[in-house]
Amino acid sequence: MSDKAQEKEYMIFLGNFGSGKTELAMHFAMDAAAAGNPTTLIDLDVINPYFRASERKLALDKAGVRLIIPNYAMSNVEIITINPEIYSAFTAGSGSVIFDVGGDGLGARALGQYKGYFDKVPPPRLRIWLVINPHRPMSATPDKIIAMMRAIEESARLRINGLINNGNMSYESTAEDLLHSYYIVKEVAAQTGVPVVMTSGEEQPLSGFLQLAQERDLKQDYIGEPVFIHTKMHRDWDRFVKYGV
Amino acid sequence: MTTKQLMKGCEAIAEAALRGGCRYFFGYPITPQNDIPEYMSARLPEIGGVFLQAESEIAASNMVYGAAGAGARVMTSSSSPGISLKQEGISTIAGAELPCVIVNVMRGGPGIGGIQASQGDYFQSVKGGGHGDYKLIVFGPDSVQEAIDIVYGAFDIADKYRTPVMILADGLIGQMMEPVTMPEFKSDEEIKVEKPWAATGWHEGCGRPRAIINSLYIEDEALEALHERLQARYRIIEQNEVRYEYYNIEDAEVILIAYGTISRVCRSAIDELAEEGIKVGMVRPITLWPFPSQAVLDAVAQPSVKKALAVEISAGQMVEDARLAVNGLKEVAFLGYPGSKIATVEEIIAKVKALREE
Repeated sequence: MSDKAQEKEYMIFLGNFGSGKTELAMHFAMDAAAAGNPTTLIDLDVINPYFRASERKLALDKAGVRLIIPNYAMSNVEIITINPEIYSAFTAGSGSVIFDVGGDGLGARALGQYKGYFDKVPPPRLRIWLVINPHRPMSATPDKIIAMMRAIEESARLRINGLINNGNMSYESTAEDLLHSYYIVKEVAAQTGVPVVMTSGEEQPLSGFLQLAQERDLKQDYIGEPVFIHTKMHRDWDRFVKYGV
Repeated sequence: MTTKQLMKGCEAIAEAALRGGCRYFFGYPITPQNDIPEYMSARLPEIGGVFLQAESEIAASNMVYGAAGAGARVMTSSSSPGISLKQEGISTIAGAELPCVIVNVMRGGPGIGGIQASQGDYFQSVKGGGHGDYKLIVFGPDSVQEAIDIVYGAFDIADKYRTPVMILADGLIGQMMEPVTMPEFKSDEEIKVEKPWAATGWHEGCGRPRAIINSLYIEDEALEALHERLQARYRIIEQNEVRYEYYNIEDAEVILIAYGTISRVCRSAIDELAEEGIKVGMVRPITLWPFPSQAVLDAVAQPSVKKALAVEISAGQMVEDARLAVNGLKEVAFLGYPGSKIATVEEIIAKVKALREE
């Protein structure tokens, strides 16, 4: 690995199953590409059979994002394997490299083998973020989230350095859902000392939450940067929901 | 803040089973249902139940036979090829008149097939699967919430009729995440059903004959008596347990017939067609056996209806039951793909328009 590789920015999304890692990874990849950065999105999920970044290859191509997918992903093979092309993420160059990692400690294990490479990246260029959605039952309480966070760190062999409040209820998300998550993520931050780097959501729930935050004088430290996202993993069967179930 | 949670279909099915009284789970891994045993392995010990990964699918279904024979609320799950492997056990369970719940999160077939979503196991589920004259009560949920509600009540239905109940979910139902409301745990009283037939240990003076769990009927008369009981029971189930949903059927020109995830794509197509002024309705079978034949016939027989269209993620299986229900009164066309492709809203709209013009 050459020293020049250190010019790359790395963003790693970790979290439990269904916390929203793929949505956020795609959002930041498209954002970085739109800003003119050479951008690589690495789908490192070796667990999920469906609903993965690889399914959005066409949209990512169009946005100018280079997508690296695991071997056999999007095929009928059940045991997908790590793509050696991932090592190109650590070669010399500039731009953004975004890792969309599989859920829980199990999914994070795929990341552990790159520890030697990540160790050489200067900390400001290495963002290792935990995506939290407390509306998922397995991450509903600070205790569960912290236990999961430790399991992920152990498997990934990396220290998480930022928390993301991605509290949502899919197509039924509201400002109150983010508010509920705020208090839980705040507690995780207080107990672990890891800062909350952002709060993310669709336009309506997130702007509603920011309004509530202002009214209730919530601490900016536990909100971080607001990041508005447009859900990309919706499928045909979600369309009827706009008319009510 | 609502009391809802965001859950994946497989997790939700597992949790709903526990709340519906399931205390034993025996299974073997296969995609795309792995999240069910994964979840069960973590949760069952917490509530005093037993999770066991068997050495094979057939072993798992025989363990279900044993637990059901002892009166337990027991479940197994698998995906298509794994369900084929379980069929010997399933036929035995039906032959011994035992209640249990079986979840099939369908993937593509035949053979090992593929891991993408499918509805190719309809025939296997509603027409037999294993050998012999028996039926399963089969449900085809269209959402994570409906899967929860069905699984939650499935153990009661299985116990009531001493019949295996199958949840036939396409892979998408198992893998999609949706906001859901989870019902409360059923109390011990609620799930403690009198099962005088269960093999729970006989002793002198216990006041009942020995309970023997068996599917071998040595004397012809005994086998005939079994079939009389089963067939009488199936007729009662046909009367009591049919479930379906109508969507916009009034004054419809075309009636769609679809279950599971593809019914949601149909619904999108119906709504878009309505915006163009084209009236299309849908019958969505919720029970696949007993099939809502009368409901299908009633919808299609309406004078406004020109044709019907069955839409499936298969080469055309449920369409045969729809045609039997309509009995030649009107054409029941078909749209669907086996394998890894599912019909889109645009394709359904185009097909409906083509049918109107024929």
